[in-house]
Amino acid sequence: MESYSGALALLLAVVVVVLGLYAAHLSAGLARTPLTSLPYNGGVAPKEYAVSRFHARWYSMTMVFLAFDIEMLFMYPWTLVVAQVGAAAVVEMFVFLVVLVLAVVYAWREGAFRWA
Amino acid sequence: MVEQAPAWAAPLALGLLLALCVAAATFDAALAAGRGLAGALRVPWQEAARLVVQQRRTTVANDPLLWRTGGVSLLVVAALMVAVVPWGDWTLLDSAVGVVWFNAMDVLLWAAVWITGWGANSAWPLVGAHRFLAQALSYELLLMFALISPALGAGSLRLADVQAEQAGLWFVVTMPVAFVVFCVCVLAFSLWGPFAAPIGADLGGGVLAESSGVDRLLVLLGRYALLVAGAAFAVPLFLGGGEGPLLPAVLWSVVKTVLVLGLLVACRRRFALLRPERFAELAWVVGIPLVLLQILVVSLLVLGRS
Amino acid sequence: MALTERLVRFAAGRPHLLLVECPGGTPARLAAERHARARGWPRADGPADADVLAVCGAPSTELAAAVELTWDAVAGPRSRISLRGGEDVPDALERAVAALRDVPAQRLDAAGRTPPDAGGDTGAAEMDHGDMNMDDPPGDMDHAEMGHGDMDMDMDLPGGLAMADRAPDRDGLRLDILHLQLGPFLPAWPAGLVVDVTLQGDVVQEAYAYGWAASTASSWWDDAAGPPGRRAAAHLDSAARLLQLAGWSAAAYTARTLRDSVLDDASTPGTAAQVARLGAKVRRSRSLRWGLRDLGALPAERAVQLGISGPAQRADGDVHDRLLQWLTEAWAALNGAAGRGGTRGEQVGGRTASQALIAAIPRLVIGQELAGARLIIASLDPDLADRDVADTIAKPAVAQHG
Repeated sequence: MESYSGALALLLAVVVVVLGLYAAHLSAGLARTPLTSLPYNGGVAPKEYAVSRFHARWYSMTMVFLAFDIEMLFMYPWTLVVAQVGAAAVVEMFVFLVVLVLAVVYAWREGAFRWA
Repeated sequence: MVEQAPAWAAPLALGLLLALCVAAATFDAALAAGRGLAGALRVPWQEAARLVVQQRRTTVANDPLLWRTGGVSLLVVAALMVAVVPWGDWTLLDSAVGVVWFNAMDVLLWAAVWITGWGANSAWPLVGAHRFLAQALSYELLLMFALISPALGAGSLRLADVQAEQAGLWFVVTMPVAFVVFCVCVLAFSLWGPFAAPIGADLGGGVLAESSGVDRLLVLLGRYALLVAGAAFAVPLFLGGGEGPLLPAVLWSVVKTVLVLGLLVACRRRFALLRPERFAELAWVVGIPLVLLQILVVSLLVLGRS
Repeated sequence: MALTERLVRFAAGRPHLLLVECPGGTPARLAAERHARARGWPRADGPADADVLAVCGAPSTELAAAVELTWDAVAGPRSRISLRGGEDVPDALERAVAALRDVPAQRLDAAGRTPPDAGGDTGAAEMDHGDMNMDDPPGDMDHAEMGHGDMDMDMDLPGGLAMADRAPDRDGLRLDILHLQLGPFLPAWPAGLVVDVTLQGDVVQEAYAYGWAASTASSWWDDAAGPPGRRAAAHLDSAARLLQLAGWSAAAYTARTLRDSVLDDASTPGTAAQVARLGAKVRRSRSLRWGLRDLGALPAERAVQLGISGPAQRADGDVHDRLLQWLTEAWAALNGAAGRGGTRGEQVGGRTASQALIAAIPRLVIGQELAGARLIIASLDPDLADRDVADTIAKPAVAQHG
C-alpha cells in the first residue's frame, strides 16, 4: 500500500536542513544583509538587463524532443504489459520507435542538433 | 520483500544522503592532485564553514523568488528521488510507479537549474541556464530509455519488484548499455564532470557566477545529493538492490551505492567538458539508437521468458 | 561571536583565489599560481566564488577601474593583494589570510558597503549601444568615461540597466540582442584583452577585439634574457589555460605543474618525457577531441593571409590542433629545438604576432556559441604584453553567418 507519509517526512526533514543552514548563516555569518552587487561582467558594468528573450537556437531540437516525450507516455505503461500481450506489443512499439528514429535522422541531416 | 519504512526513518534517510554527499566531496578532494587523504577530509567542512560564514550576494534587479527557489530545489529533488529507493528491505515510499517518479523529479531539475540562472539577472548565469536546457534536451530521452529497460525486464514500475526480479542475475549483465547510459545521465543532471558546462569556467561559473554564501552552498550540496540519488537509484535498477552475501541487505544497498558514487565522482578527473552543443549530436544520433537496441534485446528476453 | 571567529579561521585555511592579470603581470601570476597550488588553494572562477583577489601586474587606469568593480563584487570575508613580481608572493598570501581572519575588520568592511546607486552614476547602462556607431574603432573611445549620452529609457528601470535591444538575426527575425564585453578579467583569459560581442541567445553575432590597456612592459615570455625553457613554459602555460577552459582540470593541473618545473630548471632530465606523456594523453582523449575538433578552423594558408605566424599557423587546423601544437612545440623546445620568432610568432608586415592573432579573433568567433568563442580565443592566446599590442584594434566584423 502506498503511503506518502515517509516521503512527506523526508521533505520536511530537507526543509529543516535548509532552514537550519540559513539560521546558521544568520547567527554565525559575517553579515546578515546580503551584498548588493552589479551583475559581474569581467570588470565592467553590464550594459543592459541580461533577462532578455533568449534566442534558443536549439528550438528545433525541442520539437523532436516533444515527439519522443509523448511517445514515453505510451512506453511506461507498455513495459507492464509486454509479457502478457506478447510479440505484438513489441512489434507495434518498435514500428513506432523506428518512425521516430527516422525523424531523428532527418532532423540530424537538417542540422537540428548543431546550432552554432 | 520490501516494506514501507515508518515516517521516523525519513531523517535517517536524509542523514545517509548528506553523509554520502560529504563522502563524495571528500573523495573528490582526495583525487585532486597534491593533497593527501588527511587534507581531503577537511576540505568539505572547510568549504561548508566558508560558505555559511560568507556574506550572501544579490544582484541589481534580480528575481529573488525564482533565484533562491531554484538554488534550494536541487537538494529537494535529490531527497525526493531517494524517497522511492529501497534500501535493502525498507523504503520510504513504496510507489507503484517509482521509476516514473524518479523521471518526474529529474524533470523538475530543468526548471530548478534554469530559474537559478535566470534569477540572477546576469548574462553569464543566463547563458549557463540555457546551456543546461540544451543539455537536458539531449540527456532526458536517454535517461527515460535507460529507466525503461529494467522496468521492462521486471514488468513493473515498482522499484521493489525491479529489485526482486534480479535475484540471481543482475540487470547490469543483461542491460549493460542501459546501465552505462543511466550513469551518464546521472552525471548530466548533476552538472558533474563532463556535464558541468552550465557552471563551467568558460562561462565564469555559469549558473553559479553570482551566488555566494549559503545560496551557493545549497546548490553545491544539491549537486552532490543528485549524484548520490542517482547512484542509489542505480542499485535497485541494475545491481540487484540489497542482494549480497553475509551483510544485511540494507548494508549491501549502501555499499553498492558508495561504489557507484565513487565511479561517478572519479569521472570528473577523467574527461574534458562535453559541451551541450556537441553532446546533442552524440546523444541523439549515437545514444538513442544504442539504447533502443538495448530495449529491443530486453523485450526479446521478456518474450522468450513468457 | 566566537563561533564566527572559529568558522572563519577554519575556512581561511583554504581560501579561494581569484587572479586578475594585467599586461606585464605574467611573472606575478605564475608565482601566485605556484604558491596557491602548494597551499592547496582552489581557483575562483569569478568574484562570487572568491575570498582573495590577487591583482597581478600593474593595472592601467582603465584596468584599475575594472579591478575596483571586481573587488566590489567579492562578498566578505575578502582580502585583496597586489602582486608586482614573483618574489613578494608568499608574504602577500600570508597577509591575505591574516586579513581574512580578522573578523572585526571584516565585519566593519561588510557593514560599510553600499549597494550600487540604482539608476544613478553607477557606470551601468550609460552606454546606449543602439546609437553607437559601429564603424568607430572601439579603441578611440575611452571606456572608463564612456556614455552619459542617451539615458531616455535607462532611468526608469531599477538598477539603472537598460532593456535589451532587438536586431535581425540570421533568419531575418527581429530578436533580442545582448551586448556583452568579454574580459578584461575572466578565467584563463589573455591579460588586457577585451572582446565586445553581440549575442543572440548564446551565439555571437558581432565581435570586436582589442587590447584595453597600454603596457610598457615587453612580453615576459619572449624576453631573450630569460632562462632557457621559457618557450616551452609559454606553450605549456597556454595549453594549461585552454585545458582549464575545456573543463579538463586534471590535465590543466599537470600542464601547469610541468610549466613550473620547466621554469625552475629546464634541463632536469625527465621533464621532456613528462611533457611528451602529457601530449600523448591529451592526444588520446576522445572527449576532448569531440569537444574541440572543427572549432575555430584556421588553415595554414588562411593564417598566413591574416599575418599569423607561430604555433597558430603551424598547427594548420582547429582548436584541438593548436592545443596539440603547443604541446608538441613545448616538447621540441625542451629537446633543444631553437624555434623561430617569439612564442606567439614573428612580426609580419609591421604587425606583431599577437596583433595578428587579436585581429583574427572576430573572424573566428562570429557564429560560434559563447563557450566555443571562449575556447577559440584561448587557443590563440595573444600576449598583450607584446610591445604595441595594447593599441591593436581589430577591424569590426559583422555577422556573415547563415
